[in-house]
Amino acid sequence: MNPLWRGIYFTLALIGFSDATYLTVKHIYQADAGCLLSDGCDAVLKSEFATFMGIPLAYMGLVYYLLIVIGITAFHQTQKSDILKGLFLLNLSGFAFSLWLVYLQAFVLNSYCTWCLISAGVTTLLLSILTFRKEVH
Amino acid sequence: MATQPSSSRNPLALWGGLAALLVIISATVWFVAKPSDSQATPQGAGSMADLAPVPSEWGMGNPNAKLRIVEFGDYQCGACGYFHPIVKQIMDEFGDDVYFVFRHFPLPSHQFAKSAAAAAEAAGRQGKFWEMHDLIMSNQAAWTRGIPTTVFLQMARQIGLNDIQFQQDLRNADIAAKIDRDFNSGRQLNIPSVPAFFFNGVYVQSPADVEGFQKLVKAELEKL
Repeated sequence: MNPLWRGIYFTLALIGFSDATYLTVKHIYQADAGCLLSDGCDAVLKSEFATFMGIPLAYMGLVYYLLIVIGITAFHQTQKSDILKGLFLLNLSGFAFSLWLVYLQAFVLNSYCTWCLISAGVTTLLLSILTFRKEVH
Repeated sequence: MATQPSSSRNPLALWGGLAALLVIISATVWFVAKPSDSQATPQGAGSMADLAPVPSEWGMGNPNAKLRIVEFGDYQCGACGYFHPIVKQIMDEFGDDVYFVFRHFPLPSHQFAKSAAAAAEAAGRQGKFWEMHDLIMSNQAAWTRGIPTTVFLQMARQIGLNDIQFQQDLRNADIAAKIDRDFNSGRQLNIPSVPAFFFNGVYVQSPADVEGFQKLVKAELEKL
């Protein structure tokens, strides 16, 4: 993984981290229960699907992106390809989970949460970057 | 050693830098995302004028009541559906002392919200606005997942409306204009989200449940 891709990956992971932090803060404050004009529908973040096995998805996202940021930094330092393989698996599960969440928003809740869609997009990009790295294979 | 990236020579700086970066990002995002009071409360300027009664508005309860509650709502918004039975309960209890007005605020992000508002208005032309309003609100899951116009038509039949008239009114330009007018009056008030409740022209933060709503209404009535 050359430094350019590493940099892009790291930057994307930071974007994902900021996004997850935003959702976590929103979750902590439980802002106005309603559908926001600017921000889409808060219904998604307050729905029964906003938690998974009792854990708020926002917190899971935060831990997920934190692991990715730490992982890519560790790879930058050690250049061990095992770390990239681990990150690939992490991204893969994150991607599968995102697909499920986008499905729920589109077909079950009928409303979208912009910040959740951003996270799904970031995870897709992270996964595609790793998919084409030779260290992963 | 030569193949190692330079940063590996100083892991402390690398990890310290990362930790600092993450802390800065978190703090910034926290500051931005934290709800501020000004954000939650729309500007009061002009609110009385924008909320003044209009001849075509839909109201229930006592029109001469001292307390006038205006809700801006979107039929496709789950939170509005959540408040629907709460409002009904409040009106059952305080119907003599309160006049409740519903205004349309279909969010652009909800693709069926406008046609739902049109369906309620079309029923209103045949004198059954509130009957349709109830059906649409309490069956959100049924019509947001299927083909809404078909479901609205079934609802229209259920409450005994004239089919043909109803379908024509769904596309009526005056009805569309009325919905836009409602929406624009909400925009003027800078309402941040739906449902948005105004008590005698003053925005109130939506209470979490029936009890909260009852307390709010009682407190407001005592003040008058």
